[in-house]
Amino acid sequence: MTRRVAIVGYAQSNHQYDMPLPREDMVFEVVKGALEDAGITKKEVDTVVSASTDFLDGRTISGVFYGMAAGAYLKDESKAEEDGTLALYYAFMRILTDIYDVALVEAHTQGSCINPHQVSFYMLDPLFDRQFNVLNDIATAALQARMYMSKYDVAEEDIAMVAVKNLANAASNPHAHRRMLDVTPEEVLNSKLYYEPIRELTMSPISDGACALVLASEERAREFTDSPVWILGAGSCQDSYLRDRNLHRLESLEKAAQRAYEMAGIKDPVSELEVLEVSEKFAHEEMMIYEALGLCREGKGRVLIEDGITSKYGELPVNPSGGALGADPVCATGLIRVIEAAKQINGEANGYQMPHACRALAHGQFGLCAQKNVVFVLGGE
Amino acid sequence: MARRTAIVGIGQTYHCARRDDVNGQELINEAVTRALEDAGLTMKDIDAIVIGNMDHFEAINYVDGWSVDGSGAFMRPIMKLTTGGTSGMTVATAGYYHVASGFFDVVLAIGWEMNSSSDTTAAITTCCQPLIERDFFAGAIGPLAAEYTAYIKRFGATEEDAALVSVRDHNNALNNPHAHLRTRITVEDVMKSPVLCYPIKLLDMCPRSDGACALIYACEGKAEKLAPRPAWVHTIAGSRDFVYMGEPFQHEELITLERASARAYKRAGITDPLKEIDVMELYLPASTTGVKWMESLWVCGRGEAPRLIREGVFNMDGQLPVNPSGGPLATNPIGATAMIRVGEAALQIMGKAGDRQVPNVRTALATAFGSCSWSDVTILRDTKP
Repeated sequence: MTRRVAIVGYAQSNHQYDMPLPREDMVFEVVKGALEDAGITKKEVDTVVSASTDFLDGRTISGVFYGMAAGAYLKDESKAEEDGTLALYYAFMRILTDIYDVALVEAHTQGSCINPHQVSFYMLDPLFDRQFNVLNDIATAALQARMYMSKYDVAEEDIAMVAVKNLANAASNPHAHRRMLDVTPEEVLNSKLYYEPIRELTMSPISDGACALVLASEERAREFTDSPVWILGAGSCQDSYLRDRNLHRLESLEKAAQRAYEMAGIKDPVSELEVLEVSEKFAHEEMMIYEALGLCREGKGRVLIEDGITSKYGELPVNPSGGALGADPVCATGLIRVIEAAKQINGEANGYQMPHACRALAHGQFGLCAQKNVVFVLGGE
Repeated sequence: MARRTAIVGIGQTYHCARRDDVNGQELINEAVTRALEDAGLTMKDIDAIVIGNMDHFEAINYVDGWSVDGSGAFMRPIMKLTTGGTSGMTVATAGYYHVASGFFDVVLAIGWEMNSSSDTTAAITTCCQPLIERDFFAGAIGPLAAEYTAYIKRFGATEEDAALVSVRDHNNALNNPHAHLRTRITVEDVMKSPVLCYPIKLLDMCPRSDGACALIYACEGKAEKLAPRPAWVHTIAGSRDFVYMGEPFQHEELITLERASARAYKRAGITDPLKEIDVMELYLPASTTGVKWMESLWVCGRGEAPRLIREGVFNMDGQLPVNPSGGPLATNPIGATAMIRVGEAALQIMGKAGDRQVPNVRTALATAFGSCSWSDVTILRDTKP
């Protein structure tokens, strides 16, 4: 890296279903919050990168409408679609070139207006898969879950334990949408069945929400704050389309993580990371994510859950904020993970702060069965 | 410091109103294959990919996901970007940043559109504010017509001035084997063509095309080896604004283009664009914009553009040739249109523009325009920045 880049401010909405704010106001609130958190005004922002998709926003060229709310007036603005972590990746690149020093990254989705599962149908190959009219993101995730379960002997009960962990964790996070402190495995297993074995509580909720963060070069970061959160590593990768994939493995995440670890100089993630925030849009994916991130061997993700290693009180907490099962405003979900990881490093995660969190990992995903993955490694001073 | 970055390969499909011979994935692959061939590379040499289009124009979401076999994005970092009509340059810009940041050495940027898959004007209409504008501002023509009407009123420009731009671009397209519309026209033809929305007539407006474009960006050290004369990126600048289409907006100037080009000139050390730039590839969605926006590019003072156009300054044999390729008036696969501008500018620098080559091009400028809200400017040169 030619220069160091830090996160200097962030904000997120209280994610919920049917938020009583139009999209632009929701964006405005978090952008304002992030700037206030960084102690700057929009004048200091050089460039803005946002994330959302036209389909999820329900109109073409949707960037037109929330750009001004994101403070982009007359600025060099761009829109990296899909997950907010991709927008962060792009903003990171923009600062690394020296052309810009301060960037604002914003991501949002109002799932209550445009149902993300319905939209996911339009992610399918238009000529073949879409014509059958049977698949969407939940159906494909069900295939993925079944393949994973049968290959590694994973039971629905194991998957339910992931949901119990994250939904209970979400209870201490005031921003989370689905907060269920006393949820039991039975309750999860008896929740509404969508596509076998995917149930209401083993998939992420439909949330409205937004988040924003401010990114700055080292020099500017030092001016703004005493506690910058450095981006130590970043990586992204995409797998092939649904039909040609090993659905039981997240190979693109393995590669994205490798890149990020290499950049951050991490050799053993288990001992070198203190906390992880991952985007598990479905409960079974969290175990697959453990494996892809190198936290355990292939097929052994279940053990980390069984032994409570990734629980709030375990050796390597994953998703103390509740993760995507706690709230999933689609395009914002990955960026919220980055913010949650930064909060842990800054000691700001009231109620779910992990002790001695110096290095944290944040993960974002997009596409059917987590086709595309982005990994960030963050660190404190 | 930003790493020095150059364009080393350009690939375009053939463009037409309806490409029934290919699907989206195959269309993308056609451009990608040609770009790789142009740079003498194979897919193995590509480190990352950026791609973009306008989702609703195909009624398909998430092109990066399902087009992997066409784009080559298997187990590679890929990013999808979309703004407005600027999308092509938004993607090209991201390709530049992927290399300039030092993350990747060789990056493939893809812009594409299959407008025939959906109703473009209906899709663009959803871009209008739903409660007030959507009912009466259909598509892209209305706002541009309003803009030029105000310009006519203020500066005494005429419909014929716009027609001259249309004739120039359409006739330039005759030299471009990739162009969609290749017919010789006259000012009379333009004036007689049906009115779409006064003062814009059919031949004043861009068509909608199916097509794709791919560019390959490479870092210093590799670029020189891949191309004998790489097109070095000197600066890319963007600016954005918000406009209610129904509001009487920006009648005198396009503020985003003014800001973006001023920023770009400053970074590239250009003080007199008319003299210092050798060729321009402009995103002109309508011929009327080819009059008015010359002023926003600081090529001349306010109200002076009609005179320069009548004098032929921007013709192929003029002082500053504009759109040797024919521009969007001849070819408009929307998500690719702005990338084609960058690609054509690069071809001019590299000396590979064939019959549409302008002699001795050392500095080329490309612009992009998106929904009256975005303007982007790219400046390329034959020397390193």
